[in-house]
Amino acid sequence: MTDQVTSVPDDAAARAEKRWAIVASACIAFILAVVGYTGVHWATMPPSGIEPVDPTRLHVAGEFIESNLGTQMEPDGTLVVRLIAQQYSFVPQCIVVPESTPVTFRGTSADVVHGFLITGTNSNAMLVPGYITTFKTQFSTIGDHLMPCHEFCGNGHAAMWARVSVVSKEEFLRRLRAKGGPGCV
Amino acid sequence: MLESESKTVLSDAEREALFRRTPAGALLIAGVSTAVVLLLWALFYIFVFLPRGMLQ
Repeated sequence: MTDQVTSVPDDAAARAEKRWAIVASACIAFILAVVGYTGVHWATMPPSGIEPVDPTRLHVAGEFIESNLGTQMEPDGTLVVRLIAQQYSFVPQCIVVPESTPVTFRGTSADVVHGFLITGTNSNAMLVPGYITTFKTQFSTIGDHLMPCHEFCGNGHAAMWARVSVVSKEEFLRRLRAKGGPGCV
Repeated sequence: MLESESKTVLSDAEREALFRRTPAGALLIAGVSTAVVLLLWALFYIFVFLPRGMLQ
């Protein structure tokens, strides 16, 4: 019986298998090429979180003191959004940014691990106490985005969310000049 | 071997002819399902991921 099985010509099946392996490899290569091209073209980076910060002194000194939170225009003209996550809210509750303008987000946590995503965008990061999470992005259309915490952080997690309001550049500059910096109202 | 089974045993020539045929049905099913998955991935990539903007 064994002799009979080994004598069966299996070249057709082997050929089909080889062709299928080529097709499967081509699919994987195509996906990797598209992802690789987009990654290099956009210079995409995962949000980094390697800068240390003392979570017990956020409100006392350093860049995360209350007056420094929200959207700020740096001396070199770049826009930086600083935010703190804490059980169970984000500070500030509403972030105003201009449309089609590069914005750097810098955030950290005052207590436990939090996370946030900005709905309708690819912005998605974790906020770890003791480290500053940084990423750059820009918003192409005017409108409001919800910004919920997406890392379970305790009993009030479900109610922890903020808002990102994307406004026109002119409106942003108007609000930036207003007393107290750009706010949502 | 049972008698009923022995009736289905193929001759060497029949068996060789059978195994020479490419498994077209299996390839068709695998091809269509892979194409559907690849198409959905491409649609999500083009119409959901790309419009949502870059992250650096």
